[in-house]
Amino acid sequence: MNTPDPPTTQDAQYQQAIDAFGPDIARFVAGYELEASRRQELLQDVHLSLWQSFTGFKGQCSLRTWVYRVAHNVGVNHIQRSMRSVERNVLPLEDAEAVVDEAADIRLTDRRLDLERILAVVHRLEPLDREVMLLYLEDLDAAAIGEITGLSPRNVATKVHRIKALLASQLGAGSKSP
Amino acid sequence: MNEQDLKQLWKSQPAETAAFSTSELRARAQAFQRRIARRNLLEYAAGAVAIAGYCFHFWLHPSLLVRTGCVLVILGVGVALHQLHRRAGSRTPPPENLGMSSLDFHRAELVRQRDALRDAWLWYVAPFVPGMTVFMWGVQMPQAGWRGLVTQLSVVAVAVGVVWLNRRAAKKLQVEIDALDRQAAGPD
Repeated sequence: MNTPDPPTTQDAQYQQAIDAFGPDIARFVAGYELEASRRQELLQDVHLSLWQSFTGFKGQCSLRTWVYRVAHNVGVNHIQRSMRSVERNVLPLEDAEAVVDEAADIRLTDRRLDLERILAVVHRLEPLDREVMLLYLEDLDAAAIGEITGLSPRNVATKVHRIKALLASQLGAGSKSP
Repeated sequence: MNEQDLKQLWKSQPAETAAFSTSELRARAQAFQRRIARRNLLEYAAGAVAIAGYCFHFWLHPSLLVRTGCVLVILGVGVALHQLHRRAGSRTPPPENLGMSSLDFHRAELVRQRDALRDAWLWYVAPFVPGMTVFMWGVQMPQAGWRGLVTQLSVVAVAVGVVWLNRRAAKKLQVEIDALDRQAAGPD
């Protein structure tokens, strides 16, 4: 009779990570892959990589920081491996402000349309700017974004400022400073 | 829409959460390792076939030049297989590296790819060039004479071209690495 292996620390850490941040990971993955079937594959890759990564997790950062780093690093690897021209058509943050999203669908609700516009902007950004935007949308502060990305607080603040302006121009609403 | 509305909109999107048991993940990891092992085995088998082929040519040709070429190619295959084995572990990043900050992870990946391109000529082009040149010159020698040497030098020129292309690709990666380092340094 086969008895299941007892859960390892790696298994327990993975389960704890998924319980706490599963939906966050799914949203990050949406920021790295638009096509549904490939998004599901990427989600599986992130989960596998996350589980494997816990062999090296010794509490050197918070669990959230570790999980977010793994998810984004796998996402970045994914878009760099992708051979599709749409994924290669990325812009620096400074140039993305000039892009107008012309893919509006009048049958969509306003909120859905806004979400589509946000995703369109996300998918035009270079990897690091994309990550900062995704973390900003998850309501992380500049210090947390800096810890995950490795960017200096000043650099994060500059990018977040540009992101707010970019999103405001795309969604046609004024931004409020926190 | 204000900032909080925006973030709430983002977080309210339907999330396709995945549920994997750790035994499923373990099975997928093992399947991946088996694919890597099969790929490596195929590469070693190709090397073994090449060695067997040149052993056959060594037996077939009495010419000293051809036999010298065969020995050099066999040595070259041995060098390439040794490098393959030595570098097998560096073809993909270790899983725990995924927990590095994005800048560090991305930079480490670019450096790994740059170094592989920059050094590739050392272990998959250079080992074969001397042996192939001598072997083919020896095979053509009785009829072609100096013309055969010119043909072999053109083979060397192709090899040099491959090396040049690899090093050019490595330089492009260096440009990306430098751009990342500027990002890390931050705005002025």
